[in-house]
Amino acid sequence: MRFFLPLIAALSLLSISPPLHAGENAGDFTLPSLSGDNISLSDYLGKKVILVSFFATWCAPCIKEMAKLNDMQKELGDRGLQVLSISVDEARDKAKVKQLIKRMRYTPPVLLDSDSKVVNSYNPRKDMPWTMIIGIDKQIQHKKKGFTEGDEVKIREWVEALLPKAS
Amino acid sequence: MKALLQNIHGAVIPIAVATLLLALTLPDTATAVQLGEEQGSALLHGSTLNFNNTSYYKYNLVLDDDKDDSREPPFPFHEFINRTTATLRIKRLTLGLQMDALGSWPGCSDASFSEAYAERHGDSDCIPPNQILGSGWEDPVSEQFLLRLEKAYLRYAGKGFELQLGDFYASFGRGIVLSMVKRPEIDQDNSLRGARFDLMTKRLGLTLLGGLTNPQEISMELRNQGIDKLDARLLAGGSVTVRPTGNLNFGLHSVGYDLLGLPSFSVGGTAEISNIADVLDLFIEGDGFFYGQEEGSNEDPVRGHGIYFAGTLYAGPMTLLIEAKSYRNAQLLVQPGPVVPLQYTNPPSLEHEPTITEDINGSVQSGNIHGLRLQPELFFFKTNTTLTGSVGVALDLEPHPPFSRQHEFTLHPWIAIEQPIHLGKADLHLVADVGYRHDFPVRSDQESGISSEESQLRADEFLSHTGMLHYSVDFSVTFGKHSIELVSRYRRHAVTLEDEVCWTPESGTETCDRDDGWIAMENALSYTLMGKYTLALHIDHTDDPIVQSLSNNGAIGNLAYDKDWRRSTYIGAEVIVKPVSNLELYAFVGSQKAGIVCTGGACRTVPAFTGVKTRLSVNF
Repeated sequence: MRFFLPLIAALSLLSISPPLHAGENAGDFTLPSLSGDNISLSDYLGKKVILVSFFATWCAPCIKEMAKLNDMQKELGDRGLQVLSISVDEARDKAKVKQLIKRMRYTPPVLLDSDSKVVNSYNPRKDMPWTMIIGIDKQIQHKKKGFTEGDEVKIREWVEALLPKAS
Repeated sequence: MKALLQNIHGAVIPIAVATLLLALTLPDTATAVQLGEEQGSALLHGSTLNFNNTSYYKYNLVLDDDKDDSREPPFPFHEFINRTTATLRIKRLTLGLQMDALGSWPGCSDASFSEAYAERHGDSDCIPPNQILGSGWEDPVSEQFLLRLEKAYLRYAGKGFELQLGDFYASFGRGIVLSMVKRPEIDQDNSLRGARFDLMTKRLGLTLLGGLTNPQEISMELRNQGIDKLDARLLAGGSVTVRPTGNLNFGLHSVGYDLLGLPSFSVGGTAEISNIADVLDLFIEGDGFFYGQEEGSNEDPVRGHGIYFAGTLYAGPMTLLIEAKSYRNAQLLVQPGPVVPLQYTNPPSLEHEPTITEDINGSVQSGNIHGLRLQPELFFFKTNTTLTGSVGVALDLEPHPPFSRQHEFTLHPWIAIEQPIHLGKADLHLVADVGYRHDFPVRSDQESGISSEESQLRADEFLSHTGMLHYSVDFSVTFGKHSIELVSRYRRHAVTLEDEVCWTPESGTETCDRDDGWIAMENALSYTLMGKYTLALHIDHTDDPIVQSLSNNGAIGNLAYDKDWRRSTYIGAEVIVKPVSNLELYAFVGSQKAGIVCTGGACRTVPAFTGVKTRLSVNF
């Protein structure tokens, strides 16, 4: 046990390190979308505030969050928000993903990460749902794991703070 | 509980408390290391280092909850597991690493443990307490400390192409051909270590890959877990997809592999037509499997095929999903090994997956099966109600011992509802389903390629019916900053026995039963405040002989069909604190069975565990 105490202590100290910089560069990726096109993060990077959300059809909290993101896209899309949803379902479940999207009348682009390429890079623990918000400065400004009803208020606050002010 | 607390090392609690207090003082700011930001000409200018560290401390304690049982529970032991992932991005280049470490104590070199062991077991060779593995594992890891570079990759993302060296996953088509073990939601995976090249243009997609299979050795939750004992084996393949128009997609793929020690290959194709009249999607995949043969063998070479079809019709508020599959020797890619709950991907499954989580011996996990499933879904705009129904039928031509060596005809209907409700300031959300699966036995014809003993066993075997009733409910209420969620799952398995079976466990009381079924239920009630603080209570119960359980004969993965299994109720509580977005503190006390747990707005699959575990997750 004594051997591990320094390690535990070191990890504890990590958590109290002061924040270095706000933001993290968002690395580009390209994934096939549910509609068949290839979509890259760089298609929107630097042009819009991007909300990337990882989800799976088997994850109930993800579906709750998607309903809120769908509303947010409709309301804030004109002001420069772009929601990108990334499904981590396996390739075999593509029909289930599309069924869900159709049923929800979900309008934001849905990308398919069936090889886990992107989720491994951004969310290696593969927590679901997992959301990140990228500012127009291409920096990841917020990351969030999980979703409970009411979280959409905080997410919206984060997004609105990054959007250009409404005239 | 008293014993549990007495055994926790005194230093851990103060550190955990200090960490919690200090963490609560952190400002709510996402953090990252921006290398070389002040030096515009530096090589690392504009680069980003993303660092994630998760550590678990676990105290594994098997409670002696059956005083009538003379067997003593396994010795308690401590575990520390740490996973560090780091991603360095330099413009289009990404370097990713994952380093895992595992330590457990005491071991046989510990004098006090050796004495305690000798006192209980006499002169027999000392076995470290962390080696209490269920039957089925061949070479359990018994070292007290392991450090592994589990994942490492270098990726260059160009405009329209990507080149990756190191670890990666892959799936072609809908996954029939390349069914590599991958269950990301439960922290188990098996990637390739090699090279991969992807070309992505508007009309053309090309993937080439080659490498050695690379199973994850240390899992964050499942100690000593060698995923499927798959040695590093060569695998190489490629796929080409062509999209002549926006709604047409054709693909060809081929994979050669040496997973069974005999060079084999498969080749197949896919066709996808989307948005036909804006209401219909069609997909079909067909694959042929050509398995290698021992030199000098006189037997016919093994061939197989896999055909999968999916059609989805969207008609206003209704969608109808139709799936069909026909497999013959389709899943010999993975080396045969012990049955492991929660393990394999099963390319395209026709099942309602939550129901099979702990029942993988069912017909869905078959490489010789023909099946069809219809799933209509109806959405009511006015009430926001979604009703889903499903009926699946399948003829399973693969034996699944120990439950049945016979072929089975499976019928599985289920229905589900999802209903969000707004009541003033409160939001209610209900997701529920109920279904029943019945497996009718079908006496199989004499098959070639099986031993005469196996053939006789099948001929003599009683044709047992098996069935599974299941339901699940997920109900949440949110009002203001408060959120309450109740998740309840239940499965009742029934197996009809030929005769009444009697057995006498060590407790000495004879038990007789004709119905050799079992139940499994999980209940979780959680309360979340402001999305940051979650308290959850779990009450699970099962007498499932194959469920993972520490107290179930002292094993993670009690994989043998064992009459002496213990009926167990598991009670536990967990606290999740997310004071800032880049930090999560987690603590669990009690006992839990393996399965999917959804609390605090996130889902994960947990292994069987009894004791105390804490987790500190830092992301910056």
